[in-house]
Amino acid sequence: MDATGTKHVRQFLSAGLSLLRGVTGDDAYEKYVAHMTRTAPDEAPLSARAFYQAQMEQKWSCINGCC
Amino acid sequence: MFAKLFGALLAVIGGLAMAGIALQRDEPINSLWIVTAAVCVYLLGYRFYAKWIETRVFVVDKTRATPAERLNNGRDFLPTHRWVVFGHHFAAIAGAGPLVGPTLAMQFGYLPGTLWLLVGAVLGGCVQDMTILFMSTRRNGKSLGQMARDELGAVGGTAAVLGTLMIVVIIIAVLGLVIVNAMRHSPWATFTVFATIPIAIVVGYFMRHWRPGKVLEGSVLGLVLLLLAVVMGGWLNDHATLRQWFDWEGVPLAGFVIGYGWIAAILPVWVLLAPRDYISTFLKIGVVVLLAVAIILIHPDIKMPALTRFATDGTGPIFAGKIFPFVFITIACGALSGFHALVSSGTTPKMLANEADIRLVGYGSMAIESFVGIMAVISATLLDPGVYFAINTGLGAVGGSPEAAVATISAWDPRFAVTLEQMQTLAKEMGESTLFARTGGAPSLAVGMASIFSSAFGQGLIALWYHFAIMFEAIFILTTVDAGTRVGRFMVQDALGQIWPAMGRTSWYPSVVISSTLIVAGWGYFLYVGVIDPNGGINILWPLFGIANQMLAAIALTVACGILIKSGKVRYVWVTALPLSWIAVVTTTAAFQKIFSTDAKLGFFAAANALKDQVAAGTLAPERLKAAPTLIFNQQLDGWLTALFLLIMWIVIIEMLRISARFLAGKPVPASSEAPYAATKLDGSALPRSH
Repeated sequence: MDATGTKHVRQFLSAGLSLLRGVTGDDAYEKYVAHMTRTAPDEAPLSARAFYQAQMEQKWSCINGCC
Repeated sequence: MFAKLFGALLAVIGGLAMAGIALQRDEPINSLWIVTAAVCVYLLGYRFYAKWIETRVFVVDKTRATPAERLNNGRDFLPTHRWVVFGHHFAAIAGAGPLVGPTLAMQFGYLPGTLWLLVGAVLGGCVQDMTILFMSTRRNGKSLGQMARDELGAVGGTAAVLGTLMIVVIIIAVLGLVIVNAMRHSPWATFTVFATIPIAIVVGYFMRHWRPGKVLEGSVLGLVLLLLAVVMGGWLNDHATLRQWFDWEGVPLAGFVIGYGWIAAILPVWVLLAPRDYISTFLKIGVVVLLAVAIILIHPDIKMPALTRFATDGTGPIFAGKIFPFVFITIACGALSGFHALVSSGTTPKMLANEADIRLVGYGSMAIESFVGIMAVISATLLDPGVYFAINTGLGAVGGSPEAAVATISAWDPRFAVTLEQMQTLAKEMGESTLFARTGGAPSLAVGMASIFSSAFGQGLIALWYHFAIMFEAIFILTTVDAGTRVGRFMVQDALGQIWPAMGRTSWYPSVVISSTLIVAGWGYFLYVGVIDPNGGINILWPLFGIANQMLAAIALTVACGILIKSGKVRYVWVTALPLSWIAVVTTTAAFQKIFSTDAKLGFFAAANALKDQVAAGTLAPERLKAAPTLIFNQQLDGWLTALFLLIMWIVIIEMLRISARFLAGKPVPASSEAPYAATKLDGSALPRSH
């Protein structure tokens, strides 16, 4: 495979991984930290563990899935 | 120009495939015809109908800021890439429903269910999901219940919330029964399902303490452990002593599911519920893709006839009643499912970065769910019809023993011929002691999936694939059991909090325990009765679930009609009024038959009376006599519940008609709850306004 081909495959795989991370919520903490840095740079964001716990409590307090 | 050519091409291919399905009547047809017709129908619906709704009916505005942008908090309100929202929404709407309903509906033959999955999705389910998503997005992500209250007033709103609570109870009971029937006297399946609990706990601990929030790593770990559990289940099944530990009757298994649901609802979510849901999402997306690839590779012939005698004579062994209205009640998820309206007005509208994504997320995800239903159709109909009926029919309906069952089923139709040897060989191949009367759709679907997967990816592993498929279904179902119990608990706490404020505090322990116990007692009761029912229980519970789910769809479509009329779009209201009229007629007819039919197989009260007569005449065996009072009470309760569902549906419809008539006559009505316009500032969306 030539260099451009390899590049395309790599781009495709990285797009797939980022999609999978988004769908499963793997990148939620990174997004939250980015949001906090942008909107409230003086405030310390929650730790990864505290954020995960808060996120879980909130996610499972309403209907978020079907049969 | 290109779009028109593409559309014309799709229409021609889709039309040819449909013609192929319709004309090949007396010989087996290939599943590729169905796959082709389905894909063309979805693409046509998505490209033209959904596009038209988006531009003409909704007048989607790309310059308008969505709630995700305006209320961005970095957590639940967060502008997200459209394909991520799509994946997230799909994973939330698709569970065991689109697999089980279409499997059961195959008793009518492959044609009615397939047509309803396609037409129902394109004109009904996809439209409902997309419309509710749009309306909730314009209202800061409000829930269906809140929208009903805001737009139709307190009566409509309360009816919608009550309907939701009841459907949650029925859903958990029926899915619990599906999984109990798959585990009954199956050490392999029981071990695998039990193993999901410690695995979820390990993964939960991993995600919270070792690698906080590393969901992908945790899910992969969970998946590997689950596959290991499936393999270990096979070894255990060959061990004479160990297999006895996991060889359980239905009633203790129901007790296990009930106890499990109660504990999972009161434990912190990170222990059990959240990790299993992560693994389940991962597995769901993987298996759907794998199954689609395998079906296209193998493209098996469909062995079920297009129409069976049960379509017209209404004596189907899996559930009673004729094709109209019962195919439309049995297949809810996959064609039109009211429950989706709760998801479309839940987390999804808070993630949309732009209104222009609504068509892909709302309409597109539902089209894929419908395709999952089509794959279930193919998996069920590639089996010999006799085998399909032997697995899915309760022994009570076919003479009480495997010998009588094969004789009865083979006598229905020459095409349904099945023998004891054939069933024994199949059971042995799947690593089971028997496959008779495994009602609920999951086992027959697993046999179908196992034969597709093993032909595509390795012939020798069929028993492993069967148990993989059972584990795959069990993991969604257990997620529905605990997530549903938890949601129900919040609803009960909210309702009790109106009377006694302390009960409304969601984290107050006595309130948590009392409300969880109430919900678990509700569904646990229906599950228990289903397990002791000699006809398998599914024949009663699935129609009840279907009626409840279609009632909720009618409520969602009614709210949508009301909002369209109040927005001055009365000339477009047919878009939601068309599926609403259909589903209201279907639900009303089905409910009337279930309440008033004098046929004991169909009518709830008729069944109760027939059983009373048998008790009085002393013709029942001692074991059945003991269960009779519970079964009689249950049939009567189901009859009253059906009446209540019907009443709730018509209250909401009449309220909407009343409010709409007032609006059209220029009288005051509840004001629109739409959030005011704000321009988007997100990069890349500073596009010219679409109107």
